[in-house]
This record gives sequence, structure tokens and C-alpha cells, in this order.
Amino acid sequence: MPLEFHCLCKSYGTNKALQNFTISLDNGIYALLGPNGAGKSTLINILAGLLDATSGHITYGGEDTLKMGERFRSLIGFMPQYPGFYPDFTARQLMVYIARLKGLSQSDAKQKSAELLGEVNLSDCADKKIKSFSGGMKQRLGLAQALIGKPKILILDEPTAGLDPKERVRFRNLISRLSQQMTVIFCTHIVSDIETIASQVLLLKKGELIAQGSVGELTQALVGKVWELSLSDSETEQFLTNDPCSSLVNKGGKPCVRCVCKTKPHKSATPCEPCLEDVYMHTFGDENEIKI
Amino acid sequence: MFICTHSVMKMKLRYELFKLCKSKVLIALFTLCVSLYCILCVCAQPDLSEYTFDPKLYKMYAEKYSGKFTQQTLEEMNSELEQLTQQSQQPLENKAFTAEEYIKADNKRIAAQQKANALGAVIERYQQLKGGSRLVYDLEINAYHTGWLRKLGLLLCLALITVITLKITLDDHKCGMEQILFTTAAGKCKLLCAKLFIAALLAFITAVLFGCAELLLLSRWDLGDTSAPLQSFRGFETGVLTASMQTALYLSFVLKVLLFAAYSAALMLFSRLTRSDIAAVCITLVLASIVYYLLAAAMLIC
Repeated sequence: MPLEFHCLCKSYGTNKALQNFTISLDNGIYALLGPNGAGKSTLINILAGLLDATSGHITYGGEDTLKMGERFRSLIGFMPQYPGFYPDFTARQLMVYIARLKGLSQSDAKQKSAELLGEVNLSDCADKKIKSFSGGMKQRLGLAQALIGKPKILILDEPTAGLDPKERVRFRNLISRLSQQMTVIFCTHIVSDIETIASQVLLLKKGELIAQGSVGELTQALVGKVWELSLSDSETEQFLTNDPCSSLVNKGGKPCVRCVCKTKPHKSATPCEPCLEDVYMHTFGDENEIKI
Repeated sequence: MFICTHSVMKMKLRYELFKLCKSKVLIALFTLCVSLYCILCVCAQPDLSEYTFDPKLYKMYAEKYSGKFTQQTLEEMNSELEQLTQQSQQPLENKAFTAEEYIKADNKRIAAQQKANALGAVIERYQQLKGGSRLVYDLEINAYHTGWLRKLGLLLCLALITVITLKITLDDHKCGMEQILFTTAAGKCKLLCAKLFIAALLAFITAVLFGCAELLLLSRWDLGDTSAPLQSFRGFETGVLTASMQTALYLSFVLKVLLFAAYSAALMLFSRLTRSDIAAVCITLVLASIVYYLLAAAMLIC
């Protein structure tokens, strides 16, 4: 069933956090990408029901989610940006508690909790108090509790923050597997996560949806416009100062500048394949960015 | 999956109690306060320094002359008082006593003086009730002279209810669980209603515990004839409530418990609005003080 946003707006006084956000989402993985203050968390919190929109509405299967109320809440799984838990609860106790609040019976709650803790590699720590957990373990627990009840819409706010590379790969595999049966919306600053698993990327800037598409579609627009160039230290410094959308990368042990430009910016510049990070830097790097 | 309010209440109650029991500091504080108050209730002695008479003698004369005011009874009491006064003022210096006889006579004089003091207080009370209720032994003489202890109980109860309510209300917000809990099927409305119910219930239970301790305190002392009308007791002579003292004591117990539950609910409301422990406590205490003085003024008028 499609999840549709209709002209969603949210204002905090004179500050417009979200402006006329309109989109239709089906099953798949949707990544929200944007700088701080773009409106990603506001959008996610409105969808989760934690915030009220100033105007506009969200529908699921054609029905207003506010009117659906409990029925809609039973379809969502939410993982906040910094999940906090009761420190004196064990992981298992917390999972069972949340499962019960989601409407599962006691026996189902115990069974599902054990399964999900296994999925996120927390089975060994299931009976340890959460206050002894590391940040990464809490993130995994946050993901596990969001998956209770087989939600149709999974909302994840910075889900891989604090995870080591192995756990991030595990997370990506899990989400990819689940995305066939649900709509996954996650916001993150880790571009490599989006490149690996997102089917659609939504670029948000100052509350507006400025671009959407698959990673390939977004990077396609920059083909022939991404350059790498090797400069001296002083030239590099000057180049970076003049063009905030450029970045410094390490190529074979040598620093080199990577930038987006319609024309060849320097005689030593060589064209290269664009990536999502180039799209990000180009779109959000500077207010006077060159439009594609 | 539909989840009914009753199930949410049960689950939330179970888990809130579970969380509260996990808090060792809270358990220790609760146990300490209740135990301390119970011990003090058992050991406390009333402060009778303001009285010049022996309460036992007062009781004896109150029972002897109990009943509604009559002029004849008053004359009898005055006559006995005069006799006792004469006995207490009998000079001993001019009489030939042995040491032992002198001590006996002096003790008799002192006993007569004590009886006269007690009877004098009873006569004064009798005249106060003139045209009103009957004379009975007054619990004000004994039991209510542990006022400092009852005030301490009130403060301890209030403090415990404040701590428990704030723990229930703000704990989820402080540890970051609110975002997760409010997005479950149970939802914000049902969860907040459940919290309100639990806070009021725990306040009720705490108030009952302290109320029972206070009744234990009062029952240690001679309460007198509590089946007598309320108007027979000091301070209630012009009261409008048509009930015995016993009924009035139970009613005040129930009222106090309900007020504490209401205080807990108000505290929870303000703490949700302000998201701050200190602000919520300050606002609620101010309101509680206003209500207390309004109630006191209303009682004065009644």
C-alpha cells in the first residue's frame, strides 16, 4: 500500500522546517539525505506521530494516518536517533515490554524478542542490564525493538551511527532483506550506507524536497562534471577556499582535490565517475552552488 | 493489533512498579520514611506542658459530670470545687504533726489542688458547651498533642508522593523512552492515562499507609468517647457536620487520602507541561497551598 505525503508543512514560529513535502512511497528503502536542519528528523517525527504537522496530511492506502490512529501506529516501527532505554532493564525485558505495548501476547512477545535479539547479534547479552551496553549495542537494540510486530513502515533515524563496519554490513543486509515486504525510511549522513542499499534517495534542503531518484539517476546528472586534480599544497589550499563544494581525497597516498564543475577547472584535472558524495557536496556544499 | 485501555493499564502498572522496585534509592527512601514514622508513632509522647491539670483526673470529672449542660450540675461542680480549694489551702504550720503525718497531710493538700485544677478545667469546658453538645472526655487533651508528629507525617507523605509521581511521569522522558513508547500501538493518550492512574494509585496507597500510622498514633492515647457528636470536641463546637467524632475521623482520613491522590495528579499534569521536576513541584505546591487555605477558610466559615 502506498504511503503518501500531501503538501506536508511544519513551522516553528517563523522558521519553516518543512515546506510542501509531497511524495508517494511504496515498498523499498528510501533514504533522506540533507544537511543539519534540512527537515529530515521533522519529517520522520511527523510520520511517527510524535509531532503534528502545521498543514498537509499523510495517507496510507488512501486513508489519513491521523484518523487511522492506533491502526497506523501498529504498522510502524520507529528507531529514534539516540535511543534511550531503561538502564536497569535487561534487553529481553525491554523487548518484551515494547512487544506487549505493540499488542503481542506474552508468549509471542518472548518468542519474537528472542528472534530479533538474535538477528541483531545481541542474544549473548539478552539478560544483561542495558546500562552495561555500549553505544553500538544500544543502536542494535533500538533496531531490534523497531522490528517488533513486523511493521509495514520502518522509520530509522541515523540507524548506523555508532556501529562498527561489520555491524553496518549486517544492518544493511537485514534491511535489504526486509525491504521487500515493507517501506523503509531512514535518514543518515553516512553516504556509503545509502549507496549500498537505498532504492530511492530524497534530497532535502531547508525543508524542501529538492531532488529524488535512485543513486544512479542522481549521479548520472553529474557525469562529465566531476574532476580530480593534483595540485601543490598552496594551490590545493586556495582551490578548496575558492570552491567549498570541493573535497580533498587520498589517491595512492597522494592528496588530490575532487570537485564538480561544468568545464575542466584546471589543466591537470582528469574526469572521474561521480558518486553520491559528489551529489551531496554539489547540492549542499555552498549556497551559490552550480545547478545541474 | 488492537490493544485495549485496560490491558495498557495493567501492563503499564506492572512495568512501572517493576521500574520503581528496581530503583534501590527509592525503595530505601520509602522504607526509611514509613518505618521512621511508624516508630515515632509508637514511641511519641504528647506534649502536655500547656495544661496545669492531670488528664486522668480531667477524664474522671468529665465522666462524672458528662451530659448536657444544666444549671444544677454546674452548681454541684462549683460546690465540689470550693471544697477541694479549701482542702488545698488548709494551713499545716500551726498543727502538731509528726514528720510522717505532715507528709501525708501535705500530699493530701497537693492531691486536692490537682483535683481542683482538673475540675476547674472541666467546669470551664462545661460552660463553653452551654446550650450545645454534651460534655465528654476530649481527645484534644491527649491524642492531638502530638501535632508536630502529624505534621511530620504529612510532610513525609507529601515528599514521597512527589518523588514517586515525578519518577513515573518524567522517567520515560529523561531516559529517552518516550519517543519509542508513544509510537507503539498503545499510543500517547492511553499511556499517559495509564501513568496518571498509576501515580494516583500509588499516592493513594502511600497516603493510606501514613494515615494508618497516624490512626495507630491516635489509638495509643485515650480518645475519649468518640461516639459522641463532633460538636462535643474542642474546636468543633459550632461545626455543621452531623456526625460522631469517630465518623469525622474516618471522613478526614478519606478526604486526606483523596487530596493526596489529587495532588499527585496535578503534579503529573504540571510536570508533563513543564518537563521539569523543580518547576512542577513549585507550581503544584503553590496550588496546594492555595487550596489548603481556601479549605481552611471554608471550614472556618462552616
